[in-house]
Amino acid sequence: MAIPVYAFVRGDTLGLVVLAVETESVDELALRLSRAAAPRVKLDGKLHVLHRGRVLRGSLTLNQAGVRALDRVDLTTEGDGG
Amino acid sequence: MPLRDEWCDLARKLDWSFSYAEERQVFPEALSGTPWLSAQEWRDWDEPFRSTYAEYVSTQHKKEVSFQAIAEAVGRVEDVSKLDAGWLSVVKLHMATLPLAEFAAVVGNLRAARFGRDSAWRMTSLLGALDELRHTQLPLRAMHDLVRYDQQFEWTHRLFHSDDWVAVAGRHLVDELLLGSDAIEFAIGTHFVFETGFTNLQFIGLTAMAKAVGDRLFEQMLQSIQTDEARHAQIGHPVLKKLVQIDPARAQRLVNKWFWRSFRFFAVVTGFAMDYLTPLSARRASFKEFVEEWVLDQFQSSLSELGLELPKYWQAFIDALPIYHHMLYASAYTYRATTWFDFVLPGPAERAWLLQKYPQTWPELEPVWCNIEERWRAAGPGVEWFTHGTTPVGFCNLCQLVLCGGAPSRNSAVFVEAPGRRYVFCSEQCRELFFAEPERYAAHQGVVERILAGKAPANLLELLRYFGLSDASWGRDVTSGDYDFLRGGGRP
Repeated sequence: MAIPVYAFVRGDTLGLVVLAVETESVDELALRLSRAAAPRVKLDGKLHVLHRGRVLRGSLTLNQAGVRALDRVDLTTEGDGG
Repeated sequence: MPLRDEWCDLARKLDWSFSYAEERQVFPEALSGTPWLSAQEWRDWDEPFRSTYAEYVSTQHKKEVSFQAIAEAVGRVEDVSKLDAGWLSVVKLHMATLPLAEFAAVVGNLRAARFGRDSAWRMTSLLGALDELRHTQLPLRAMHDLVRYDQQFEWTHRLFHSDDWVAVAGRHLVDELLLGSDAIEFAIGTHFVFETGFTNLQFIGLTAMAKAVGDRLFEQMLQSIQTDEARHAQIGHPVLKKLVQIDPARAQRLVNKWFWRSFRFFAVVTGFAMDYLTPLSARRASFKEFVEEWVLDQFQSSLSELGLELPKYWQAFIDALPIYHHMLYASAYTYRATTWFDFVLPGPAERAWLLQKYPQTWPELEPVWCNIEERWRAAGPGVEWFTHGTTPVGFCNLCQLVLCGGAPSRNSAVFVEAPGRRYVFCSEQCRELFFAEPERYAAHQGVVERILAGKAPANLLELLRYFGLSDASWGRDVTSGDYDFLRGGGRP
């Protein structure tokens, strides 16, 4: 099932609304977010998705990770303080 | 007392006592405003201009003749086509946001002309309504002939009839402030905060810039409008003064609310113009400097004189002043096709100027522009899409502007879980204002809610059509990436 999530990429100037899929992995979502912000932000390093204050394991599906419709996720890279 | 002043009182103070109806029925609180006071308590209401109808007509006639002469002399397509491309975007942005908002202000003033609690207040509001009708028609007339030169000028008339995101945000503000407020809130929100507090930015700051770029039509139009605004804006002070005496907490709440909402609006329309779209050679000061000069000092002294505190969100405003409009502009630049005006890519000279003006905040923005610049270099001139976003963006459930609060390192968006719905706000201040009057805002559907409800498309190209834009009108980079500084290959 498709779920819209609010996404904030570290270094970006705005919040995005990404249509994610419950069965996609956290890593896949991270890649999609980095592409969505690419006109403004160049991310180097391993990507991390934060949700409700914790970093999500990349191999989990969004459903397993507990990401629900209209949740906020933040995308950061290793070592940027996220 | 001079003869004229005696005559003014005779001609303006015309209220009588009702015997066939209750005063509260003639002036119901829902329209006249809270707190409801008897006419007796408003009888000292006065403002400094004290224009009579004859003086008004005579002055306005002279202004009209003068402006029409300028428009005929320098308002032709061949005059406008000589202007800087970035500056033309300033004109398109302002001309689109102005006339229909002014028309809504006609209604707000007419409501006060009927339900204001003193006859002098009502008469001044009636002249204010005539002013706003003039401000509706001046830009519509001046821009009309330019549509054949550039279809983006059609948005002078079209914007508020569209569902473009700027129109959604603009109507949300205007509908509440100008159409949905009682006479007291209208006087304080519109006349005291919006007009006295902020429009000097437009009418003095931008007038100076228009003169510097050689746009005499825009310069004269703004000057002509400013003289009207300066007069009817005086309605706000005596209304606020009375409210402070009777209900200072409400007075403070209205100032808090409209100060924050006005700042969000002006950050877009004036911030873009002053720090990005106006050519560097014509800039006299930065947006922040103009606000410091024309808003901060004046506001502080006016509030202090009335015994009010600074707006509750003053510190948040001070913090946002050097960064919020930069966040918005970089975002809008990479979604420029969603607007009806073109955008300027700030080059090395502009960015050096911005760094000098915003030494604390610009370093966070610089990587964004370096990235955009690199992508233009990689794609080459004309390839707009490579520096353009395609993913839908989030909007604030109060101000309806893009979620651009905070800084690149920390977006200030706030999420709130409410029964049956999750809300998102660009800032704590917008969240607080929303939940102070949820009944006013909860039913509104912003762009994201419309997409989720299937009323608007999520695909960007289709969304542009939903916004009312077409290939002939949507925004682009003013040079389509063909800048001298991009040809060098290296970083500035």
